[in-house]
Amino acid sequence: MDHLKIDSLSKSFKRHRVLNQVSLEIKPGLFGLLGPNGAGKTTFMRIIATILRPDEGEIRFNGIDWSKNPDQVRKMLGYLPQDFGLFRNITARESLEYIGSLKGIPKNHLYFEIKKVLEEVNLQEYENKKVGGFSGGMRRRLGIAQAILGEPQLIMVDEPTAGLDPEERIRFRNLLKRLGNQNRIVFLSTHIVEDIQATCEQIAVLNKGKAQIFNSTSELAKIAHDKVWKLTVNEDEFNEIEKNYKVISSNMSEKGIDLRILSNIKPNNDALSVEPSVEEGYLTWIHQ
Amino acid sequence: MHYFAENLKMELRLYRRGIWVWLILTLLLIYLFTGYYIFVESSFSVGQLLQSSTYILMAGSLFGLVLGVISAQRERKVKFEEVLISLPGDWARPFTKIFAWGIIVFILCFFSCAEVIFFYILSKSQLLLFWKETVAYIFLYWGFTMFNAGIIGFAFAYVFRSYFTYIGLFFYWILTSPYNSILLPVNISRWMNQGEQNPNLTYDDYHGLFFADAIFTRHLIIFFLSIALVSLALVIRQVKESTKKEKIILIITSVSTLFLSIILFPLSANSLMKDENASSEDIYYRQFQEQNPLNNTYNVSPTLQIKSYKIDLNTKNEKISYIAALSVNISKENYNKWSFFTLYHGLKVNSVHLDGNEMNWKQDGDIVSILCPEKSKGDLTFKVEGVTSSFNPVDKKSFYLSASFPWYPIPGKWRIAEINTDGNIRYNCVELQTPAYFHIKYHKKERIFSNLLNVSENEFKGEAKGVTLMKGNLLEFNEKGMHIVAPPDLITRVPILLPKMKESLDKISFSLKESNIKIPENIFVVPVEDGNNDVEIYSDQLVIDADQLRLFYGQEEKYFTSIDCLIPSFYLNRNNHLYDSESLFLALFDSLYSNSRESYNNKRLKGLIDYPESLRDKKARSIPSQIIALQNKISREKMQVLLLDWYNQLKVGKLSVEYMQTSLNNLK
Repeated sequence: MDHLKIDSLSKSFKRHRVLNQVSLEIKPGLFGLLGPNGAGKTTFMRIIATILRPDEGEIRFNGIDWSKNPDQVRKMLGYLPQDFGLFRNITARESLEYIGSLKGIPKNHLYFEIKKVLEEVNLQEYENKKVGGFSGGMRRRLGIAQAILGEPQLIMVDEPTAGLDPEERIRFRNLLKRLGNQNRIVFLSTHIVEDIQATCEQIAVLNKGKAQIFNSTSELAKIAHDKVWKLTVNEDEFNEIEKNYKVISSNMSEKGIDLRILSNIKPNNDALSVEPSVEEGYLTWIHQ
Repeated sequence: MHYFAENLKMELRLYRRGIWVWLILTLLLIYLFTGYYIFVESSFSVGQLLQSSTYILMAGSLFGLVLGVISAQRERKVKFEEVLISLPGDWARPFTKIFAWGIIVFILCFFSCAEVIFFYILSKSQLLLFWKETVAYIFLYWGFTMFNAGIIGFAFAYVFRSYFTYIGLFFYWILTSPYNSILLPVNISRWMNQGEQNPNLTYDDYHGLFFADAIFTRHLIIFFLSIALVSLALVIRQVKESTKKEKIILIITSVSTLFLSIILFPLSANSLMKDENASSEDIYYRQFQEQNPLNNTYNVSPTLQIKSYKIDLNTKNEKISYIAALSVNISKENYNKWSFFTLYHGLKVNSVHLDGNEMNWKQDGDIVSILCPEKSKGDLTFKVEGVTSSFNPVDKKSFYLSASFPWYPIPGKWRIAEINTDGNIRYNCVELQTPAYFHIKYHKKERIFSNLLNVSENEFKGEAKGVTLMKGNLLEFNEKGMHIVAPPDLITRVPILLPKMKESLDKISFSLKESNIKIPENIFVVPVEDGNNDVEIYSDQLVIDADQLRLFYGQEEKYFTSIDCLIPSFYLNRNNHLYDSESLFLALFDSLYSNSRESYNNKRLKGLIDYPESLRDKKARSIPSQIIALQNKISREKMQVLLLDWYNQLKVGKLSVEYMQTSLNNLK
């Protein structure tokens, strides 16, 4: 399978440049796009999903040029946007039949395809229930079902775990992982580092319109090498440290407050350099 | 096509599962049911129900706008839009929505038609024969308006996402409603109005429901403008950024539909001219009367004798054209003298030939003058084209060409219309002085009716003093020597009415010492101008006003056997009514003859005393009380003599208030 090649992608709204010469090459598997809120992730996803058109740049996949053949792109695309819903008066099966027909899935395959994806997202019991009665988590799962319907080569999911309870979130991550193992590109955009850490082999971080690719989560974590410090302080010291350093985490312990600090220099003599996490690497990158 | 079909299926399913369509359908069917019941109870006029259906039209338009907004925002509201845009065939979705809306409107109209036609069957209405017209009307007025409103609502909601959308749509709703004149100048409001031009008008049975090319064109223009608006909305839509190719297609669609609207505009403006014509008609005869006062000896008897007419008639929209060949005899004393023909001024003579030779002729207003050659007889051929007056309306769907109206050249110089003392225009009866043989051919397939004998399809022959031709929502009834032509449902009332009318006429004739009046065998129920009597009698035909007959449906004798209807129509001077004298005369007649011979019925006289302003001449206002006072002093027989004296003056148009005063004083 070909790689998804994104070359010098730029997009502005009025005078605000949201994406600035973003270039990425994504190989099959689960790809995470990380970035803070307002970094341009949704705009980036919408461009890939052919909803928006870039001002500059090129996107290619399997020989298809996004700007020339948007309808071809749509045929191989499964997209779950950040805000997703379906018609309330329509059943899950009817919704998927509609989407499947538009995707061009032959009628004789559609029935089984729908059954398959509903099983995949554990909604088989709700096949003939109207979407209006679904919980937020069920709707998200149905969103994934519609995105994977027809086995698209490129699946785009934008902030899929937002608003889900922990159990749903774990189920979702596992589902994405499974999809990523099926020789296709699964493009996951999120601001939740945990989601990426648990699922993705490749990562890109997007901030202020610029993006950088990392071949693994550990590569991202490495950015914070020698910059993460661990120390235990009392309450007075904590206030002082919080004023001068970026505190990543704080936990109460018997000895006082256990802190993880992001700093280029050693904060004090008691501080110990520790192995950075992906989140710490990510925070280091966006604050660079 | 595949995307179109899939989107259509989903859109229709959403309509079916939603509450709106069911709500509209239920309300519509209930409204039609109650409306039909009320109209049938009061006047048996479903035509009136449809013509007065402004509320249905406005409700349809409102629902259309609301459903257009819902349709445009449906995906956006449930956050499904982005997914749909990322799927193939998204370009087809907006147009599929319009198509689906068209299907919904079709279904609503279909059920409306079915219900109305079901009612026709249930009440055994003859309107069933004209069911196609009902269907066309419902689809044109209700359906097309609702459909366009849906597209406009869709376009607005697609672009604007604020509450201003609703304000904009509210204005559209008002501006296109029949009540838009509160906001717009008259001519613009008429054009914008998507419904009946005047929903308060009485249903015209003869013409049927109002259709005109201009109405259809107007709806078509709004449709094209709506599509232009939708295309523009799609270009500037906020969620999806269209490709260059898509933008070009949409802009071309928008520009071409806009262009089509502009091209069609002149066709849609035609109906605005009609009323101007009607008012100019009034002005024409007002000025004419100023130049030729009524006492003036304007009329000139014919100098040519017409033996026969052969007329090949054609109509196109509001115009008529024909070639009339008149077989004429010219006496020696008229050689090289101008001879007059009366022909309505809206009809223009293109040429006049005598046996193929061009004549010396001129047309000035209602008069065509011909310089007679030195030839004892020949065929005089007139080529004529033009429009008739509001008295003889002609349009694409119907026409009424009356035997009393000079729509073909009538020898002699006659006054066609007069302005009565009440300011209304009144058309005189301009028939031939002596009968001629007519041969009329109408060159269209739609059936027409005439007072002449029908010899083949739309070909009539016979001897008469004038020819009446009618086309429209009409039926024919031949029985017991009567030939009745009337609109559906009304036609069944005429044979019931005539014997009662005859009975009343006999009584009046007896009281006025006149010989009995014979009702002609040809009876036409026609549109009658305001200034004319509701019943008119010509040499071989009786004409009854369709509106009035409808108004008294089922109780016709209440009006058509009353002295108010019969005396002015059958006994008095037809031209130039003397209103005060007539009112006083009728009051006296009523007083003497409506009760038993022993007592007077002074209800009408007392009415004139209680409402003196109903008599225009202040000098006349004392007369009713003088009559009542006199009843106690002189015998009934003397009062009857007084009535006859007034009648003799009135029937020649000479009964003045002064004369009445003098005659009353003489009796005191």
